[in-house]
Amino acid sequence: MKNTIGREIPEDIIWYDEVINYSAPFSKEPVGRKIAPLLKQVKPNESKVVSSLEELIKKVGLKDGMTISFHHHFRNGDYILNNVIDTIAKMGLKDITIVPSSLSTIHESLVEHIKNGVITGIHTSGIRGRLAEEISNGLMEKPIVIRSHGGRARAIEAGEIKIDVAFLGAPSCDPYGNSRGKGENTICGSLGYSKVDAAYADQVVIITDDLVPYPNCPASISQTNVDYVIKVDAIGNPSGIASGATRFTKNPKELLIAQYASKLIVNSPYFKDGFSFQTGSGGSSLAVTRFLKEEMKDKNIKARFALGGITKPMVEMHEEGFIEQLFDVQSFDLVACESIIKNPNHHEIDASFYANPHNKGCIANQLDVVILSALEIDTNFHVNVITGSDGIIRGASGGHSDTAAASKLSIIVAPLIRGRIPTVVDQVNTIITPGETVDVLVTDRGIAINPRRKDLLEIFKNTDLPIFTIEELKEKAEKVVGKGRPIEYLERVVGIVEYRDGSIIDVIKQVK
Amino acid sequence: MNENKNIETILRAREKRYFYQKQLVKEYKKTLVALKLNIPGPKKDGELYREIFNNGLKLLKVSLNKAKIKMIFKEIWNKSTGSEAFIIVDTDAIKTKKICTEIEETDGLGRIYDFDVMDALGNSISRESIGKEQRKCFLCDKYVWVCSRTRAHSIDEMLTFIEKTAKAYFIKNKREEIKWQ
Repeated sequence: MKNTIGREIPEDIIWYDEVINYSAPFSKEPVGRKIAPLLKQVKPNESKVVSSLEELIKKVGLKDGMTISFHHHFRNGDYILNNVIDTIAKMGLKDITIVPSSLSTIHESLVEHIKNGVITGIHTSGIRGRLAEEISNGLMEKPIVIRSHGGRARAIEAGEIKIDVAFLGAPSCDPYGNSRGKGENTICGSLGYSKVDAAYADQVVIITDDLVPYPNCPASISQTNVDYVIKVDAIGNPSGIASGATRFTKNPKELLIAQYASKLIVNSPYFKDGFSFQTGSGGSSLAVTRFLKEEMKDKNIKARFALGGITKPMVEMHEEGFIEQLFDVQSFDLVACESIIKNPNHHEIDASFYANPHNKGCIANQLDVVILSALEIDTNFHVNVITGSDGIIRGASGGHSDTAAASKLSIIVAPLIRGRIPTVVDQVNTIITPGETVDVLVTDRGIAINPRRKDLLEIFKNTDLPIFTIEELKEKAEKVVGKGRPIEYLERVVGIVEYRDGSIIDVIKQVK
Repeated sequence: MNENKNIETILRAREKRYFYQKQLVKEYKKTLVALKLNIPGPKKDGELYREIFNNGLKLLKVSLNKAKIKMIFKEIWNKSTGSEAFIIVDTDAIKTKKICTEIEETDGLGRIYDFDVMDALGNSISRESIGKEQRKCFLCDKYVWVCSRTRAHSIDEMLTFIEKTAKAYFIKNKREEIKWQ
């Protein structure tokens, strides 16, 4: 059955009692109450510390068919997920659903555990590498579910994802469960995604390699939410968790895109004292931050806050007084990790505060400008950040659709052509972010404003910026590299793309 | 009461619904079924109402499947003015209206469902055109329009009836499901 943006959605999907098709960004209103965590008694002399993973898994009573969660703050340096799943497999458990906040290439050993029937369900924001390829080729019986960061927080609070046990890695933790993003061996900064799991899972386990004396405060995860604590040799590879510093791009294409984007922001009605913005960690996106800073210096404008995955350039702007406050759900580099600990106005926020559409107002709603990337964008401004031009899963939903819908000005930055493949196409392979929430596309060969934004079209009518229609940009790309051949898919659905409100916006099919 | 506060929103939703239905029919040139609930008063959304709505939707799907009718498009609005579904089906409007009326008349919650069928030209199909009587009131045996015009029953009376009927219905359904297993 088709949804309002023309995507064919199956009538029955195993994970849903009632499949609700996507219809519009804010058309699905919630009803009811949040789910509540379990009551529990911990007596004065009881210890939460457990000595081995096997003992821990027995203690939490993990059984076949249960759902467990993880966070992705350790990115590609994460040891926790693999270690826990290896142990579960050794203990003979089967049919486990995992709901990590995201997955990286380091998690490719999951392929074997899926083949052996240990893992039968995956809900995540992103998925990459061999695991993603195998899933695109039909590895799993049940389709994976892709959610945005805000959508995941919403689904957990609404009880749509019921977490039996949350296995949360923490760089440091005391014997009572108070956990922080910095420890003796590793540092990850914000623990924003895991805060939601800690608050709503039936049981919460902290895995650390730095067990410190009580109390380890101020804590990201509080003792009142933690059932057990375990010390292991290593929770992750520090160099995979956070790179030294996010570097500026030297790629001329990316610099040109950044220049256009920052010019666009500066000439928009949103660029004024007290504005707010979010930029990602991609090359052009980071460069926008640098160009913006120069403009802010010139015009004596300060930002009230910056949001998102926080990077070194943002921290510098904060420390130099250009950004009053930083709101950080995920610290992208070491500079950001250190900053969140030392700078009092660099705040750690959870994923619900960040972007959940069904709490009493997320911070994304207060955002003026967001810069986002795209693998593909089509002439309806629908954006794909999950499947490559070959139809294979290789990305993440992240906060893309959340911030696009919630912000006042959403700007997509992307090169017009990548390799020999056009970025602007007739129809994207997979829709993560609906076109009605995207305002502007900035490429190295020109800018396209969404015709829905008549106000912006009017403002930029007479500027020196190279403004085109999106069809014109598409034709420009096709002139250089020709039209792409459509991908051949099989009928079988391997992935479900849930919009932030829980409706189904698209599906990913098995590649031929 | 907040009766008048919501009236404008409800009227606006009604207007929006009508134009949207016309637009869908124009786009697909096929029969449209719209489902909403008959809930009197200003409060038209809540957990129980959503459960009733989903049940109506489920019954519609089952009936369409049984008749081997394909659904081409589906959209659901979950709004404070009440949930609504818009479904484009690949069959003629009279047949569809008969299926919907059958649900309205046989299911325990039938009087709460409100199925609206439009043909490919955008004309609403009335119950009379398939040889059925007009709909009766929840509480008595008079026609709906008679009771609503004379305000024969209070809103509270009707809401209490809906709540009681629905709760009893779902409890019974669950019991039957358990028996089945």
